[in-house]
Order: sequence, then structure tokens, then C-alpha cells
Amino acid sequence: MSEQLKESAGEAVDRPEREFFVKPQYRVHSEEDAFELRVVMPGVRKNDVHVSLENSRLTITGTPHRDVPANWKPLQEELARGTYRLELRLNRDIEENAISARVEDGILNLRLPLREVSKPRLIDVN
Amino acid sequence: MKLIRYNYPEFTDLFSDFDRLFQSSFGNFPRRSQFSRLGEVGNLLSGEPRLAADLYQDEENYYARVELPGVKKDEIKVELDKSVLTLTYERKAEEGEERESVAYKRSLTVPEGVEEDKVSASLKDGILTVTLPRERKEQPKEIAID
Repeated sequence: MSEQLKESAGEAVDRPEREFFVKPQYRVHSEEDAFELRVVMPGVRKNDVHVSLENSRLTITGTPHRDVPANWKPLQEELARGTYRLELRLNRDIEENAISARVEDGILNLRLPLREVSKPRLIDVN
Repeated sequence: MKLIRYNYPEFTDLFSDFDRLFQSSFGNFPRRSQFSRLGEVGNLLSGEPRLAADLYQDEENYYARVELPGVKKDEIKVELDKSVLTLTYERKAEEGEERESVAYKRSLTVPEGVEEDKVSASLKDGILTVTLPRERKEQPKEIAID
């Protein structure tokens, strides 16, 4: 056990570049015909975001640009490392082809339009 | 190994103490900020106990980094007083009857010997980088002997 612990600790020190995930802060705003999703991912640019929807499971990943040159010596490090990853389960059908995304100042804005059939149908009462 | 004093930020948001109370006691309990409609990111940030900061150095400069997602250039103030770097973020929003003011302050102790009037800052993709040029040490003058 202690051997194992030592091993994994050593690994973390030797390979700090190993990928790990951080869950970003997010907020969902529900509109009549769409979900608006805001995901806070500082350091992430347009091309670093990957959004996928599969079996009503929405997965968002974003790799931040830290741009820390090799000759910068850290004196103090508090910012979270790693890749942002958010997985959400959707309980409504989304019009996949109409999903739109925008990244601005480290925030991803995602619009997920609801599929026609999943909108509540108004039934006329005779 | 250098010890750098950690300065706790001053929270001027009226509700942040309340928020933190919930955070510590209930973990993922929804915070006030998640229900609020105004100033989205300010509110998202207010769930954070503090602004995290990185500090680096190379041959020429010190670099301080803070994450400020959704924040605009003119909402940030950067000040250097001797070796204390203070970053202030302030946003005021108004929507009908509702009014909101969010302010954050983070102070960092940077090593001494910074050229104060050459400090610069840039904001990109929600990350603020402050570059603090280090004072050049006077090179010992070599005197030629005739």
C-alpha cells in the first residue's frame, strides 16, 4: 500500500503534464425554445472547445492556453491546472444541428435549441 | 524557498459571507448567486472563495496571473505599492429595480526590485497577466589600468 502511494506520488512529481480534468462552473438558463448554457473556462479559446452530444449526454471539453514559457520559474501557483470537462445529461431533445457556440473572455456560451417535438404542444379545447 | 504572504481578499459583496456559509456547510447547495439574474459572471465568481493567482519570474520580469472570466478591461484596476500588487475588479449592473455591485480585491506580495513605472498588464481569454520588470542590477564597472 505504502509502496503504491509512493509510486503514484512520484509519478505526479515527474509528470506534471499528465492530463486531468477540472469541472468548470456553469449555469443553465432555460428558455421557451432553447437552453442557454454558460460555462466558465478562463484561458480557453474558440478552437480549444469541443462539444459533443450523444444519447442526450452533452460533453464539453476545453483546453486552456496557459502560455507559460519554459523559462518562467513559478514562485506561487494557485490556478487550477488541467482540462475543463463538463458532462450534462439532458432530459429534452435537442436540435443537434442547430447548436451554436461562442467563446468570449474565457466564457463559453452555448445555445441548445429544443427539438420541435419536445416542445409542449398546445391543444385546443373544443 | 521563499515564503510569500497570502493576503485574503476583501469581500465587498454583501452576500458573499452568506454564500460561503452555505458552501462550507452544504457543499453543493445552490447558492444565492445561481438564482440571481443580474451580472452573470460576477455572480459566478462570487461563489469562489477568492481570486486565485499565479506568480512567475524569469530573467527580466515577474509575472502575476489571475483568472477573470467575462471581465472587461475597464473593470480592472492594477496597483503596485512598494512590493504589494493589488488587483481590483469592480462591476456595477442595473436592471430595472434590481441593482448589483460586485467587487473583488486580491493582493499579492511580489519580490522587491520592480521597476514600478514599467509595469504592464494584458487581459486575454479571461486571464489577466501583469508583467513587472525587474530592476537591472548595476554591473560592477571595470576600470582599466593604464
